[in-house]
Amino acid sequence: MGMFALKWAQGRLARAWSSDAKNRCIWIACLLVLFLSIGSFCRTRDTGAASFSIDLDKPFNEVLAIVDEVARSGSIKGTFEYRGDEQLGGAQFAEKSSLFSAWTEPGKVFYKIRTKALSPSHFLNSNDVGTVAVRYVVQERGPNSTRLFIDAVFIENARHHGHPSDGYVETCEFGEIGKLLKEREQLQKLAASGQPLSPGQESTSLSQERQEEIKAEAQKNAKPASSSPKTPKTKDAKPKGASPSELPKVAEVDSAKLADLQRAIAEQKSLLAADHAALDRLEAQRRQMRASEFVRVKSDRAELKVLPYSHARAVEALKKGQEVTVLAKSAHWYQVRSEDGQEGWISHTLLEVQP
Amino acid sequence: MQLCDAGSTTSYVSRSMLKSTLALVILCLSYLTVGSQPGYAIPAFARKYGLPCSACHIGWPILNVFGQQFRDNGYQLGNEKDSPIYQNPSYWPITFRVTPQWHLESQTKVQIDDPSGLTPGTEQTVTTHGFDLSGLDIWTAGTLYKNISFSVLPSMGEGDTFHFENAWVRFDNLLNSPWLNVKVGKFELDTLLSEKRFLTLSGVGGGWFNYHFLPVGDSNGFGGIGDNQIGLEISGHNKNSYARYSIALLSSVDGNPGLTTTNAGTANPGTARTYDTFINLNEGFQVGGLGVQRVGVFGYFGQNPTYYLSSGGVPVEGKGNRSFSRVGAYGWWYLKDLDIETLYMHGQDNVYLGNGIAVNDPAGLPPGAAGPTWNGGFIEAHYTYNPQLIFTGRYELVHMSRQANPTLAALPSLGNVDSFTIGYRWYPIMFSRAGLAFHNEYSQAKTGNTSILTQGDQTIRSVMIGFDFDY
Repeated sequence: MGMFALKWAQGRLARAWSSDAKNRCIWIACLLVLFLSIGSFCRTRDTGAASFSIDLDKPFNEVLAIVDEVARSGSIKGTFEYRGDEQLGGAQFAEKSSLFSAWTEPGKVFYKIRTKALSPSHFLNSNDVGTVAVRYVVQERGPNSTRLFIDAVFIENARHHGHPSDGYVETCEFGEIGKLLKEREQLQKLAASGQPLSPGQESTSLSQERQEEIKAEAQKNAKPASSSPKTPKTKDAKPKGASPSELPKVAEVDSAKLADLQRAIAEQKSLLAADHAALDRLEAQRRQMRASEFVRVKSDRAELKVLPYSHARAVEALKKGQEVTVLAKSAHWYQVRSEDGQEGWISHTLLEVQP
Repeated sequence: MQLCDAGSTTSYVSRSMLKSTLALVILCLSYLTVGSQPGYAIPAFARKYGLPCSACHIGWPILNVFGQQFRDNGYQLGNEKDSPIYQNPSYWPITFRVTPQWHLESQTKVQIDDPSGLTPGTEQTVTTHGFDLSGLDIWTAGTLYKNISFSVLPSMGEGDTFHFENAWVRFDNLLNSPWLNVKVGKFELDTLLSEKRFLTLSGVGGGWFNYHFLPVGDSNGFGGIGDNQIGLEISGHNKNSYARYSIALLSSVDGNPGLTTTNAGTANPGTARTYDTFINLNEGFQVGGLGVQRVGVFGYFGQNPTYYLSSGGVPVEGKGNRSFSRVGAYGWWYLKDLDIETLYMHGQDNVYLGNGIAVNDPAGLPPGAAGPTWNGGFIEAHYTYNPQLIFTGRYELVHMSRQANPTLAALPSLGNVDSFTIGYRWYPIMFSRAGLAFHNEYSQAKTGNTSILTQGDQTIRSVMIGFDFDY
């Protein structure tokens, strides 16, 4: 049967070739070339959409400063040229880049660019020499809420092909930002508590200047807390109309009243602080509720991974139908929290949005 | 009279060839000087450096822009990674390549013997098929020292004797300039459209006809510019390898060691004493986001003996050398994922070579004999759907423009070739240390008036399904 089909095909081809259909073949070849050309051009680079986004419970300026620091760090995390390397060095900070379509939404945009990158890893179908670009967009969402977008793309020099990241670059870049945010938070806490900074704590990856800035800012913020409750100036509290002999008694009575008042003020302040904290928590929960997306596992076998990587270690096996909360998104992976509080990454192909 | 005619024809051809070559060289040198792209230094590459295959290959074995640059730079990155301290001491730069396959070969109008021997026989189509193996390549290449690169490629087929497909040493970046490199040994001619790095492997489609064409009855021992040759090559390029040149001085032995010349199908060791020349010039230019477009010209100018002096019946020196040439132009055009290779080639052999007649036997030339000339070309497209899947298609022809023997003019298409090939390669594995391609190909060629009994056109076909792998 197979041989018959083969002979039939051979015969057809031979007849087609021997007839005037040769011209037709050439036309078909031309059309094929045209079709493939159109196909080539239709495969445009998709660099316009953000591939990683996350809402942070941090003030806009604080996130902006850290992102600026990371954008100027000189290396791109999560990608490399040579096996054994962990990052791509030689990157430059930029305020503009033609490798991404213009960002039209609100927010401050930074770029980190590495030219002459040789087939960098973690970019889909990476090939030849080109430029790696990372874009950071910082958006102010509220007084204590900031949204961060990160995209990474590799564009070939010759064919200008765009190769989007598989998500790992954005994740690692955010990891760096998150690390610096935590370091800054720790510095602020230490400054607020008045404890001296240990050498280990001082040796963060932030530059010395940035550390000084952060320390100064943290101490400035901490001053009102350390000096409160404010004690009134006693010489201004001198009562009028009392005789010199009565003055000590009056002073004793006044100081007792003053102490009571100070205690009352301190109690009220602590209650107010507790209320503020509760309010902040509620606000954070409200934002989390608004930002969260509840999805469901649709696959029979789905693993929650430590990192957004197929080969990354699994932290939990999820069951079909299990509900999870989306914490962050990259191009192909969602960071989620499972019902039992376990956090990790899962491929978006294994999830479905709840009806 | 015939000898004079032939001689004048030869000298005229030589003069015109010289003029056209000179003009070509001047044109191309001016083009290289004026049209050179600004260069920039890029860290070079090799698998031993821990880079992925995709750094150099669009799809194995087609080179991308950086791959061409790395090759031209003597397999060197040009950065600190070239230093031995970055190399894994257990690294052994060797690759084995073989292709287990099933293939079918078919040829029409084959003369079938009459068992009785009373008649010349009959013509019929012969088809064979089955599982098979390609030859084995054992390839090692790299650097011996900074700016001294090498390649050794022993190759053999089942039951064949071992031979060197290539073996050379190259002194790179002489005078600290990429424009001066010297290579000595047996090597592939510097043809940008390389038969060694193309995508078709079948019996019919596994070579470009233009690169190996000889007219019917021609005794030239030159196997074509697709054959690796022995000699010395001076080459150079700008930093991004967009502008390139090479000039090679080659022994007239078609790449066979042992000073072996071939005439009329007879190989005679220890007889060589002439040299051929090959020149290639090409230039690349970026066109928007389409890719680097490359154009170039080449010329091979050689000689081949028409007879031998013998001692005790053993040929000892080739004599009666006569000239031949292959000149052409090519382009490699990129339209994003679609790349198209185009080639035009003109070939000519001396009248004695074309008719298989020794120079010392001018009376053997048929009346009106002339040096055969022909023109050919191909268009070959590759569509890289992604680095793991590449489609390819080719249309190629070689047509005689002048037959060596006027009596053959009655068969105007004698020796003409019209061919097409289609196929695809799927790479389930392509890592830095191993590659596997699932290869499917159909190829067909029609050769004009080559059937022995009826002088009809013959058609040859190949179907190939195989696994091309190296590790």
